[in-house]
Amino acid sequence: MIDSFSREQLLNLFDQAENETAAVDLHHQNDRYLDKLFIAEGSMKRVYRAYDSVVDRHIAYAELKSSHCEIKREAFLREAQLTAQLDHPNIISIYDISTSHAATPWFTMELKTGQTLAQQLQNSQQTQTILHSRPLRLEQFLKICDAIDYAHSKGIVHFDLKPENIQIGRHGEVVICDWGLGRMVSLDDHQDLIDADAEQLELYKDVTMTGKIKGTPGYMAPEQISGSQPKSYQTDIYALGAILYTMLCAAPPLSGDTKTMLDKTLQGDIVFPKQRFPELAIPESLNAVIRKSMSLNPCDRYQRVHQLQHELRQYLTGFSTQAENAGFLKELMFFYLRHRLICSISLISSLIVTLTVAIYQAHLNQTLTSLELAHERINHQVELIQKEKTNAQQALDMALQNKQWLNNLVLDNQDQLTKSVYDYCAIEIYKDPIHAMNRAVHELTLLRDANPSKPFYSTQLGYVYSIMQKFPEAKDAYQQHPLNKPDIFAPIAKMAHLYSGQRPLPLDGLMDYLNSMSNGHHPLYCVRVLSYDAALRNNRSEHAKLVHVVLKIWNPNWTEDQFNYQPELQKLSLAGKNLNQLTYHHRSSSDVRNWDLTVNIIGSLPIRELDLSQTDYYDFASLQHLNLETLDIRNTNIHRLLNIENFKSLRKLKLSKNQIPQNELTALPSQLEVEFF
Amino acid sequence: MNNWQTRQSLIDRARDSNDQDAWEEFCKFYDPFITYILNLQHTPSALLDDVRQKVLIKLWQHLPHFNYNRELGKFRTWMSRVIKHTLIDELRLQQTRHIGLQSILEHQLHTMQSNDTLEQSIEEDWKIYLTKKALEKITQRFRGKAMSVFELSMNHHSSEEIAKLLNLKKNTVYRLRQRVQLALREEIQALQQLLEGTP
Repeated sequence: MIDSFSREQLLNLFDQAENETAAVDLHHQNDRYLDKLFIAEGSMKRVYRAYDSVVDRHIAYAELKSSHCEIKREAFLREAQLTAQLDHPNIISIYDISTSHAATPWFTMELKTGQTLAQQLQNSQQTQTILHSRPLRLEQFLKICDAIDYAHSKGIVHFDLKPENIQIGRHGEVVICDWGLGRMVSLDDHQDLIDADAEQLELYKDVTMTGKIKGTPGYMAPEQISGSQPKSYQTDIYALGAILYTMLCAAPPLSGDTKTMLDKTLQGDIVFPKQRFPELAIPESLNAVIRKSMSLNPCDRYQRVHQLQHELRQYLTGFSTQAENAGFLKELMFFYLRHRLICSISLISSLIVTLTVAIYQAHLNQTLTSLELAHERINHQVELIQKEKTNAQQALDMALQNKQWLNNLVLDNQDQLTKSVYDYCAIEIYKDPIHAMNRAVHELTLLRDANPSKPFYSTQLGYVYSIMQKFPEAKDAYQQHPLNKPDIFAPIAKMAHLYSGQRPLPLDGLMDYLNSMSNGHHPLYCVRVLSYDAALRNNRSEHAKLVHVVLKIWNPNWTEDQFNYQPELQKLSLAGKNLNQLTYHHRSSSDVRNWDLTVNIIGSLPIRELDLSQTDYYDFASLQHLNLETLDIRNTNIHRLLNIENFKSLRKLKLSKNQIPQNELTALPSQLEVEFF
Repeated sequence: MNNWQTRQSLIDRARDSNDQDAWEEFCKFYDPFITYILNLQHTPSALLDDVRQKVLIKLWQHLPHFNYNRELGKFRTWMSRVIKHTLIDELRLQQTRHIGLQSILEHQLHTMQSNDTLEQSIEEDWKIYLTKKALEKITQRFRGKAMSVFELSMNHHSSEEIAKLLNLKKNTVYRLRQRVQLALREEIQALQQLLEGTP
């Protein structure tokens, strides 16, 4: 068998294999597609029904009518290739395409049995049929939109959409055919077509010259006729609007001769379904969608097919469409139509609720007003308090600041102050006890506050307060730092308890106190108490009794003691044995306690005349500090008048005979009167 | 389904010159072809074996260096040149050795050297050789009427005629023919891959 093949045949077989051309079968395409049966004819192609012997099915076989024109060949194959790129259930499927050099270019595609949309509409012209088929038509229309939206997404525009190019299958399938005018647009810029090449334009001219208009008047967009605007997606959208028009009315948007239709298209002179077919009761929503889609200016149309679809779906689900420019009331009506029962129930419920709320609201408003007033008042007061608080706080701050400053000052001068306090207590108290003690309190307070941890100052303060007969204060001061000396604190606490706030203290109480204190307490304290008491107490006689007590403390061996003070004469008469101390030489020389003075124990009493004649007193010199005018020392143990020159105020001296040696008597100052008994 | 398809290219295997199996297989395919060419050129039978051997060895030696370089052209072009020049060289050599054969060899040399299309025709012969090999192979594969359909259609019989002749349906005719065409194509391509190293 092999040998029966010629050299050429064998070489041919090799070349085919090597070049991998799938063209083997193309040589035999005449054998593949059998039993061709003419179906239809367009301006460019003839379409046959044919049997595909390879895959054993019937297909549609399209063939170029005049294969001599190169431009037409190009355009024909271009349609096939363009369509082949679209893989969508609602777009005709291309099976096979001939080689470009085939004698008669052809392509095969799926064979659609059924009718075109145009035929279907032609067969259902009765108003009732139109009305009944409206939902079906809208469904079909949405499928058409699906297909076109898909094509647009691939950058392909149909440019010749019309009912004749839409096949409706027996089972309701919708298929868009005849993409002969379709073209790619740039996907980058959706508005502008890629410039049609010169050949394409030639094709247009040619076709126009033959008298057959490309596209169908009524479905062609104005820009397709005038070329005033670039053709774009909106060109298809115009056609979609027109198709929707036709589907809803079973009549195309325009009728008449070609020229009239073209003119009307250009002028946008279209009577929309609602006016033209009032009996069809086209809803305003749909009318508006058509009107928007078929706008004269492409910019006024929907920009994308899915927007148009969305509007239709809005209508189908009972919403208003955007094209309709529905106002609130219209929206409300759509809403009501969608939800009648719910709306009614809601409305009644709303009324009840509104009424209840209104009544409650009025009541609430009243309460609210009074509450607001109260609130305002409170706010005002709060404000005032706040203000006062702020002021107080400021004052406090300042005081604290001052305090701090003062404390620092005190600490800086602590030694000086302490010394003053000692001076006040040891010296000044005999001169001006009230003032001295006040100063002492003042300064001790400062010292205590500046040294809160030092018990000394508060103890000292307690000491001063007790001199001042301010026992409650004294008690408090001592308590700040509890002493380990109960013999001091206990009498003070007792006095504070017994004589709270009384000054001067009752004589008995004070006498008891001094007696109880005497043990272990410095006798000087008693003299100081006397000094202050003298200033405090107006009754000299009473005070004198106190002096008697203190003098006894100083002279514990004083027996048969008599103490007689005559305030009017300022004369003190003493009697008894072992009275030997009327003054005390108080000397100290530390840093803070530096003094040298003689304390006059009975100095708190003003004494002009002192009668010691019934005592055994012996210390004449100690008497020089008493500032006496008259002194009676008869029968005493005084035998010399030492330092007589220092008795500045002494005017009269009473002596016994021979008590003093004669020579001393002659040396006595001349102004001094001496009486001898 | 195809013994050759899975095999590594012989050219690639020749790069490993120790591969004895590869050498044998190489010879199995090339030897008949070279013999055929040499016979076509009326190579004296005394020289035939020598030239055959030399060509085979040259090809084998040079195969590793044949790197599909486009400038060098296709393998078969190169092979044609190798065959031609090896034969011419041998003729010249023998010319000097065998004075008695001089006139005959002279004539042959002249014929070969004056033939501008010699290389080209060797190439064509190679193509036909491969196609025939492939046809042999698929003839073994296809039983029944498939090869007859193929043969008849190769001899310009229309599908209707074939259907009538072989008592087949028209589309069966078409289907059978296409299957053979496809199989043949695959065979040729597989052979090319094996022997020419076509990637």
